This record gives sequence, structure tokens and C-alpha cells, in this order.
Amino acid sequence: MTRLYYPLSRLWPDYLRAGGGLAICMGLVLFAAPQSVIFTVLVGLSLLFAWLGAVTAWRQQIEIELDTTGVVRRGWGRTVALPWPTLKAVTLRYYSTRRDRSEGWLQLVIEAEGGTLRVDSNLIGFPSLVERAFAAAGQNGVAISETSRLNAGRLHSVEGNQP
Amino acid sequence: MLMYLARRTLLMIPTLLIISLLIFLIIKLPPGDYLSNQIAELRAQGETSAMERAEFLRTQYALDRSIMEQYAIWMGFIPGPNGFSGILQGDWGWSFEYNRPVGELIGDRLLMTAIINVFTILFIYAVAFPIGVYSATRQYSWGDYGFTLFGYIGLATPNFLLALVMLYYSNIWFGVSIGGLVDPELIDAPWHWDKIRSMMVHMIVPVIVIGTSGTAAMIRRLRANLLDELQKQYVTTARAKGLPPLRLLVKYPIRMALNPFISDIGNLLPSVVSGSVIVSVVMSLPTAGPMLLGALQSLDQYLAGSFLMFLALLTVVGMLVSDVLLALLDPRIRLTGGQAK
Repeated sequence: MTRLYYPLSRLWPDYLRAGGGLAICMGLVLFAAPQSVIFTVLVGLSLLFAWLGAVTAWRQQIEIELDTTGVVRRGWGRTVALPWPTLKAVTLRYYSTRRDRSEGWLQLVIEAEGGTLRVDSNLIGFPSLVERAFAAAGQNGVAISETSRLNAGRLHSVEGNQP
Repeated sequence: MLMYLARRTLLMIPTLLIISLLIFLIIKLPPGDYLSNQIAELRAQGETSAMERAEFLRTQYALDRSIMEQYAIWMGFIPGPNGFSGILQGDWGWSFEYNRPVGELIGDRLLMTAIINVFTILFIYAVAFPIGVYSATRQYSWGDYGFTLFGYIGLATPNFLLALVMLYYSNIWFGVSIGGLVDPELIDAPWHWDKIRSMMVHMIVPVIVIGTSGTAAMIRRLRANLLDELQKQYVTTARAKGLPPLRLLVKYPIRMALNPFISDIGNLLPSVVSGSVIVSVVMSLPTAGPMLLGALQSLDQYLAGSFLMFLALLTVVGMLVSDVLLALLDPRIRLTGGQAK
């Protein structure tokens, strides 16, 4: 069995973004008139950054167990267990906030009978999870999109290129 | 996706703050201000009461303070003579030229500008997409040459000239009144079906005039991108495997070639607004462009600043929308020189 996790060294930029965004938006909210549109927009953005901080904290404490029978996510909230034979869908998408699309991250979504698992490429051991999920999809006859295949083929180019 | 949105939005907020500072500094670059010019004129005429009023307004709108203080008051970071009343509090300032609050002044014009621009962008997409696809799939045909010629004419013809020609012929052939967005007798009438119909009829010419150059540029870009895609190996393979041509075209190359359509939304919005300024002056359209031009000429700083902030907001939000759509449409890693792109 392999244990996968998010190390703090890869999560602190997200903490920084959440804290920075929240500080800027809450700072501006203090000046905004409560009945104005700007106030509503700033409160909405503050909630978005608070959500980013909460999700980052949640990612920090989860642990993923990977073996030949399936994948299990443990941590706060419901434990998600996805047996490979019940796999329904696998997608691998790439995101980047830069115009030249460099320094982005990958998001893997695995759907099976036990629920849905979403992880990103900051996870230690991410390539092995992608490899296992794609192999299981192949065995189950689950169709994988051309984009996901292309991204899996270029996975090495994102490794070590984390934001 | 929400994580992407949060990271992308974080870049937007400091960008807007920096833009607001640059806008204010650039507007303040010319020597003097609106009231200084007025005071000089009144002094020449020897009118003392009006001069006193101008001096009162100078204090009232903090024009006697330093530039950075004026900026902070305009944004609502520090209290001005009337307490906290800046953009963050929903107060866009006072127009000296029109002697009215900016928010009240620009509301209708921004609505008209938004309506014209939405129709212009729809026109650009509706015309450019089929022509671009046709030109690429029928490369070097008579149709392709014809549309290429149309594209170059569209790029080369000054908008104001096209506006004058189209105004003349729409009046001669279709009886559409010259200038404005509604018939003159309906300008002050409340909104009802006749006024909406008149506006739709009057909008045809401005939309075509403002959209022509954008359409021509978009056709050229779509044609070039689609030609690149059609020459790739996967297209040859799909053809060899017997995939029907239309299905092949729609399923892969067009989807890839659509990226500039999406990524251009951010650039298209502000360029259409600023590009329509001269056309709006020529065609007497009640949009934001002519008012912005007047405000910049007369150093009406709050009016000009508010318009420019609106344009900046349009650009930044447009970029955000196009980036989000692009992330949804094309979530692939790009490789250039061994690096992830």
C-alpha cells in the first residue's frame, strides 16, 4: 500500500494566496459603504479566499491510501473508498493562471461507486495515482478523453514545476 | 475550478488598484485642472462671484490637496471634505463640466455603450466564424479570395468614413434618420415598443461600422489557426480512417481553432468601446465615447477617471472571463522547448 499526502512545502503558497486575498478584500470592505455593489462584490471575494484557505487546510490533513484494490481518502469528513473495479470515469485537467500557460497544476478526478475523489498535482505520489487510475480505466473499459490522455503523457513536464 | 477562480481573482484585485492609481496620475499629468481653467477665464472677464464659487468648489472637491491625497479621496481610502465618499462607497465624484454627479451622468450612457458593444461582439462572431471556417476549408478558392479581399478592405477602411457612407445610404435607401440611436421625436419619450424598434433600426449601422475591422481581423485569425490545425497529422490520420469530413472538422480542428475567439473576449471589449469613440462622435451616438473625449479635453478629472476605470474593469473582467472559458474549453498542457505550457 502507498500513502499519498500534501506536504506543507507545497501548500504554503495557497495559504499565502488565501491570507493575502482575504486581507486585501477585508481591508477594502472596511472602507466600502454597506449598501453598495462594491461591498457585495468584496464580501463575495472574501468568502472565496476564505474558502481557498479552508480547502488548503483540509488538503493538508487528508491522507490517500493507494493499492491494487482501490484508493481510499481519509481525513476530516467522510472517508471515500473507491474500488478499482467500480471505476466510472477518470479526467485529468490542466490549469494555469499565466497567459503562456506555464507553471500550472493538474487536477485528477476519479469517479467510482464509493463517490468522487479530486486531487491535484501538489500531492506527493500524484503520478502513481494517475497511472493506477488510467490502468484501472483501461481494464474496466472506461473511456478517457483525448485531453486527459495527452495530459497524462506530459505529466513529467508538470512534475517539479509546482507553483 | 473554484481553486483556479480564486487564484486568478487574486491577480485581478492588485491589478485594478494599480490601474486606478495610474489612471488618476495620468489624468493629473497636464498642468492645471478644470477649475483652474474656469478661474482663469472668469478672471479675464472680471467676474468675482463666479470666481468665489470656483474657489469654494476647489476646496469642496479637495483639488487644493496633493495628488496622492486626491487619489485616496477619490478611491474612498481617506475622508475628503464630505467624509468618506469615493468609489469604494459608490460615489464616482462630481462632473465640473456638467455640474452633476458622475454616477447620474454616465448611467444611461454606459447602458447604451454596453448594448451597442454586446451587439457588435455578437455581429463579429456571427460573421467571422462561418467566413473564417469557409476560407480555411476552401483555401485559395474564389470564395476565399473574395473574403480575403473583404477582410483587407475591412481592416483598411477608417471606421468614421464607413460610418458617413453608411449613414448617407441608409437614409437615402431605407429612410433611417441620420445620427443618434432613436428617431429625433422619440428621444425624450418613455421606453415603449416604438422606441425599442427605432433603436434596433438605428443600431444596425453603428454595429456594422464598429464591428467591421474586428470582424476582418477575426476572420484572418480563425482562418490561419484552422489552416494550422488542418495540416496536423491527426487530421490526416482521421481522414485515412474514413471519418466523415464535416464530423472531423467540427470535432477536432474547429474546437482547437476556437481558442482565439475565447481568448479575445478580454481584448475585444475595451477595443470595441475605445474604438467606437470617433464613430460615436460622427454618428452622434449617446454612448460613453464622446463624453470621455470631452472629459479628457476639459480636464474633468472625476468624469474621465470614472470612465477609464470602467474601461479598465471591463478589460480585467473580460480577461478573467476569457481565461475561465479557456480553462474549461482547453485544459491541455502545452509543450514548448521542453517546458510545460
